[in-house]
Amino acid sequence: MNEFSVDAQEELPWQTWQAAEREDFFDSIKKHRLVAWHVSAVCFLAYGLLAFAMSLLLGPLIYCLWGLSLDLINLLYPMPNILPDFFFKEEVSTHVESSGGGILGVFIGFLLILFGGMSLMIWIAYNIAQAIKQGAWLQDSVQAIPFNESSLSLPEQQFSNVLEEMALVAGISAPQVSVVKGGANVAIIGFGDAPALVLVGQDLFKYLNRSQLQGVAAHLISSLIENDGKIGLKITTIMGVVELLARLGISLCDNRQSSERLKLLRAMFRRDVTSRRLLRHYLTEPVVQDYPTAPDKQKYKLQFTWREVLLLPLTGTLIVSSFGVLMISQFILGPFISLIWRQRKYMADASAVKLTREPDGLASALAILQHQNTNLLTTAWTSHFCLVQPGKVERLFLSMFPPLEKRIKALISLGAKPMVLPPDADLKGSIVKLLPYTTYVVVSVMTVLFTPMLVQLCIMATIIFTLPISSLLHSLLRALARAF
Amino acid sequence: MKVFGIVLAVISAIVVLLILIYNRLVATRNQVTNAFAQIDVQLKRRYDLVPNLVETARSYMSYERDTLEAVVEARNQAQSANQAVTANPKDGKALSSLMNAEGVLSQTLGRFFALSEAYPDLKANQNMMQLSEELISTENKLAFSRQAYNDAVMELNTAIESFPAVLFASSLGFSKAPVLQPIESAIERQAPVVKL
Repeated sequence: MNEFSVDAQEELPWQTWQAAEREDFFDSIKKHRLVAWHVSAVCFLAYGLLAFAMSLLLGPLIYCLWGLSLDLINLLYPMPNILPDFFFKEEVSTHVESSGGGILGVFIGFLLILFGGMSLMIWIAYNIAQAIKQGAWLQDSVQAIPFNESSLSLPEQQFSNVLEEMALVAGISAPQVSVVKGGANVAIIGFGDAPALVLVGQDLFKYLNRSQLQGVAAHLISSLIENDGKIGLKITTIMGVVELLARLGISLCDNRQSSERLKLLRAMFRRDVTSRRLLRHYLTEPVVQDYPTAPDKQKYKLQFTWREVLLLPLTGTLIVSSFGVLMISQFILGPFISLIWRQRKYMADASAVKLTREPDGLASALAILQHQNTNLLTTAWTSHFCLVQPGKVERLFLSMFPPLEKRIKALISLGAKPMVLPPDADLKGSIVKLLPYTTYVVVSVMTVLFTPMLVQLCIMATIIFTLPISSLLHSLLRALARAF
Repeated sequence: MKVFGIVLAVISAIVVLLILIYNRLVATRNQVTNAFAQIDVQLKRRYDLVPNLVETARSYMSYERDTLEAVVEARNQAQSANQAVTANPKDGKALSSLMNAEGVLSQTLGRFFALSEAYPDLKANQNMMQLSEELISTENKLAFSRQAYNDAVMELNTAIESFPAVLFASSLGFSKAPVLQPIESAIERQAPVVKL
């Protein structure tokens, strides 16, 4: 009898899931989590460095503006003098040097300079995070199909049931489901404090059966319990600050955008509903401007007039630094961010197997979705919520999603039934594998070189432009105040 | 003075470590309790669904009266076994009789679904489709809540057996929890008899 059963097993091309394979998905989760953690640590460090550089550059500008506004108030009401006097010496001067002195004084001055830029960026970041968290953006980006609980179609009921099952095994409360117009794709949006929301493109139900839906649900729930939503919120916020400052820099170079500039500043600092909506719009289209009236030829041509030239001493550092930081963020750190998402997708797949203990459902679902239209939430800052790459995502050099063949292969190594995959995957895979790693080495060296250069350039710009003109204005205002 | 400071630092570090370990043990133990409660919730849900299912099927499957009666009977037995366990949770005998009753219910339900394949009208009935989907989902939830319970138990047992905790966990009243075996295991483990 034993011999019979052994023979029967050997005839099968694969074996059903074995208890010994349990280690595999635990190992796989651990491996991908480790890589994702390493890369995120590098990225957050790099962005911290950039924020430091940026606030160092913005600091003098904000300090001078603050000093000048104090001078203006001083015309009516006596105010302390915080700017150095190069042109006319006052009898009683209250310099930072004279009051502080020594290393402590320098340190305090340094902190003061950093404080302005840092608090500015933190405030913008807070606003962006709130704008994303509010969730009202969903109505802007998708078209929901209203449905009521009592008349669910069978696949819809199955999907909400499998989501409940997976939420049960993960020990969380089940997310809400909303069916939307869109391709065969599904996204989960949850930031930990409110019940998560699952958006399902209506085409998904055409292709998948119950066990495949179960694999999909497991992927979604495991990405929720692995905190992908919160991590996405952080990444989007950090990149959003950089992009919005760059957009401000661009609008400062262009005469036609004075109203745009005011709108942008309003969106960055105010907290009402309109500003939040504008912020989300800017996140979707961060750098490209929309000119409804201008003819096509002039679309991307900046109008640089005397007003911009006059403003340049004050705005120069902002423009230079925001451009520099944007370039580093988009071209150098962007691929790293995609790498984080790739690892996290593999991790969610493996931990979906941990939830269902059955890799076939997810693997065959991915194999089916390979050839379907998967458009849903296509903007760069929302696409990471999805199960598979939603169509073509704009302005990304390296896709956030690993190729589906590789994800299926990874699932097969966790025990899914083998299937025929396109043969060219290997060759292409090796090139794709080598390319990012070599660029990472090159670009991380370049980041390290660029940041000090940027700082130096902007310190020079500050000394040449901002300081003279602000201290001239300052002295004039103070002299005016004394005269009255 | 310096020595005293060092000793104080070491003692406070140890106290913080103990608090962390204790809190982890409490958290995992509560997870186990919660996971066990979930199993019970799903069992009760199954008892509620079965009569509806049988009522819907009765008009289509009049020839299968025996099977339907068996399903109802198994459901009632399982429910009373469950009540016995709820009344006296520490009783191992009541627990094992509940396990047996649940195993019988699962088997008869399986037979019922196999038979219902032969009735296309019944299969096409919207009400029946929804009910059977609910029942399938409940069966899955039952299995998954057992899996979640076993995972939680594994975590608790690992936490209790790990090094610093193993010294004092039992004296603080933490004990290892048993892993649930599959209900049908007793039937499945019997060696199949092959007649040649």
